[in-house]
Amino acid sequence: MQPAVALTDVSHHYGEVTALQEVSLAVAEGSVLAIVGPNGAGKTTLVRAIAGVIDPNGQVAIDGAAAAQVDRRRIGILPQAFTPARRLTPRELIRHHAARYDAHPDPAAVLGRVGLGVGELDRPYERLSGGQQRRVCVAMAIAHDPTLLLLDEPTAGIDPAGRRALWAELERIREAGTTMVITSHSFAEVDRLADQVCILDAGRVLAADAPAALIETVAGGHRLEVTPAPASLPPVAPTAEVVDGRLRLADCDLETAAAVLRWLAETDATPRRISWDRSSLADVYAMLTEAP
Amino acid sequence: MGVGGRITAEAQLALRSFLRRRTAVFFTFAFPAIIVLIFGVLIQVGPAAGGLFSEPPSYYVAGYLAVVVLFTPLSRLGSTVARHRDSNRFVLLAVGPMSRLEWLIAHTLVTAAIVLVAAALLLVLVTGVTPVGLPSAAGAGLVALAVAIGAVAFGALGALIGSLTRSTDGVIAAANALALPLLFLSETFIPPALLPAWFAPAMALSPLTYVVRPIRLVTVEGVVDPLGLVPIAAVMLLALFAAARVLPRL
Repeated sequence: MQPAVALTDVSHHYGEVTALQEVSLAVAEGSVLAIVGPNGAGKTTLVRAIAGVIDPNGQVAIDGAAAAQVDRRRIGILPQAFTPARRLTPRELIRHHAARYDAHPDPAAVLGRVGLGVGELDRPYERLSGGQQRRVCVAMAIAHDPTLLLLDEPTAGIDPAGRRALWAELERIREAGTTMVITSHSFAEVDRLADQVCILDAGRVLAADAPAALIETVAGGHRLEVTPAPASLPPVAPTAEVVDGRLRLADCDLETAAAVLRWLAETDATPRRISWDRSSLADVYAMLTEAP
Repeated sequence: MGVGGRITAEAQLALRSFLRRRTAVFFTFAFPAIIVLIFGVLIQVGPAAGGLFSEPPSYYVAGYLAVVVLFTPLSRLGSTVARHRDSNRFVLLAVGPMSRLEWLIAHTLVTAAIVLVAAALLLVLVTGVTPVGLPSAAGAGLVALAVAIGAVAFGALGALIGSLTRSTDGVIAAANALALPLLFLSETFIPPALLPAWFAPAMALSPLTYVVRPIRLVTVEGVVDPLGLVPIAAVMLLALFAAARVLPRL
């Protein structure tokens, strides 16, 4: 089946700075690709390349066609640091923005989908809280029912309850068949929404796969952590490392964990906390981007 | 709905946004009134005034109108482009179905409407405080057309400046640097006879001259010459297409 979005050897430079370096990715129709990476990794540039806002080297295809030839009504986008007309109300912003796409949704219904209360519909945008403003921006991106949704840090600045409400709405949108590309610094968000995760650093794809596959292949099943790290590394676990003052052992099975604990008991170490947890995307991210 | 619907939607948004910026609304209409009060009431232009301002009062009406045609569109569109760029709104424009030319037409039309209202108020003020009568219906129509075409032309030039400068401060500085010489060297307030002969070709290069001349024909001689609008209409089209090409994508 043809992917909804396909990038082949996509590179982009801002002057001397390399923002993207031979990025190749495919996003299946109706699935969610989450792009994670440190600040300046190239996430926003990647979203812009897919949106057709920049003209990178390499190929960007949407449903097999070049990005520039796609019907623009199909795409919805939320830029990272976006502010609409500040003196307009959410109701007016949705109405006017959707009209640019020849769409005429009920603004109250669209804003309700992102959890904006009736009391906020007619209050000027500039008088809403930061979280409410971000929800209005998300609502603008989805107002014309796009089939490809590009969201650059959609829940930045939104409180936990609002974030969960927005995730539920994004799940509903995905179930309706919309393909989504999101960038995020929240692993809770990525865990909940993503079918595929791309870890980007310095414009390069470090890893891209389904979350479970990434965890399995990069971080292994479980992770052992000892805080603070003992003075020396355990000889029974040659792959152990010290990260941020903690002893960390990735892909650590129960037998190895027990051996490390026995070794610890024989040393003068006085750990404050010992944990043996299932590995997560955060571990994968840390292993790939924070390697010493 | 198509192109017309998109332009209407954008124009409605721009107009609502402008009307809620009270300071902008106040100064848009106060600025030309201040000019009229200074020249028409304080200096009392006319043959008795002597010096630079010795033409009949009706001569200066075109200059008063030139103030609104020049300053409001230039600064308004320039700062609008800067504000849209700083707020990342051009990304939505680049991704959506609305073209940059449609966006520019919507914003320049709103500016032209605002300038027309300001020009009408200014004419009423002029007839109230100076011994100048209102033009005939045909003359008023031509004046309105000249004001509207001029406003769109200078609005597009403002958008061009906004696109080429990198900050809002830069837009204001560049707009002022362009507007001030244009205002005084475009047959507005200073009669060409008072300037050196070698400078005459430079005045002919100013687009504002081609707004002022047809208006002055109406206000001073009562002559309606639609063909006099051709040069400023050509400038308007050129400026619109040039600005639409350079509007930011990010």
